[in-house]
Amino acid sequence: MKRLAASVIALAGLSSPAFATEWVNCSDRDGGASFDLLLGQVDVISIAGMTITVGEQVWASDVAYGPGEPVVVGQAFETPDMILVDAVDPGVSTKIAELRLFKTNEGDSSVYGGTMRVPGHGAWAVSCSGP
Amino acid sequence: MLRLLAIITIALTTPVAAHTIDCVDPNSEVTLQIVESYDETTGEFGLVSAKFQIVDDLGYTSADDPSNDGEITLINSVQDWENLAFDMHLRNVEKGYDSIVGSIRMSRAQEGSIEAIGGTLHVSGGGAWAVTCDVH
Repeated sequence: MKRLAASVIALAGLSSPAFATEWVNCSDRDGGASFDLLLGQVDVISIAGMTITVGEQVWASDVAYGPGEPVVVGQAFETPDMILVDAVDPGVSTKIAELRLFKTNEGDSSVYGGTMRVPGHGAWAVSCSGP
Repeated sequence: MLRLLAIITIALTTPVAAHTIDCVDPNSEVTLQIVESYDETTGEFGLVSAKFQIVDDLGYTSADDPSNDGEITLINSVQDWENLAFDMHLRNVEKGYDSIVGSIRMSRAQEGSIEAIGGTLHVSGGGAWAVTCDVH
């Protein structure tokens, strides 16, 4: 029985590998809209968590990241210069938000800036803080 | 602290409609202004002028500034409804070629009548900034 339990624990570890994550927090100049991404530190874009706010309206990918309407990553893509994210409802029937970021480096610092659009709510220029 | 002023101007051939994009980083270290044209007939954007100002001493000069030595040109690679991308070319007279010394990368989003533009400004050896813009 102990052997079985150990095997289950080992398999659980394999199916959910631990990896470092860091938030990239993007917001408009007035703080009225934000799009935050919890990114895994792996070779391809890996979004472990996400929150979006427009005024009092909040969407969150998990209750651990705050109260809000549920949201999931519809699609995401990263190049050396850009991060593109489309957030959708859990049924993948409605686009909730788009994030379009450019990123650049100088020395050890990376900066992210771009736009977010929430259909039916508005569009904002955003600058980001994060890794 | 010296204040850098770099202005790059490209002649506008047929202005149909022009609007100004004023950008600033969260710490107000840089300002960037782009004036672009839009030809409603062809659907093409054009660059009228651009200038950026950085609170630093980077040694750049401008195209129409009195102290300009004409070394910087701005080459736009993409300018459409989704993106604005420009590279800064610095003329090296001694070596006889241009080198890219910086870049401007902007995303453009629209929702109804709202147009949002934001992105990054990078100057090699000078710094990198995320900027958000107002469109007039």
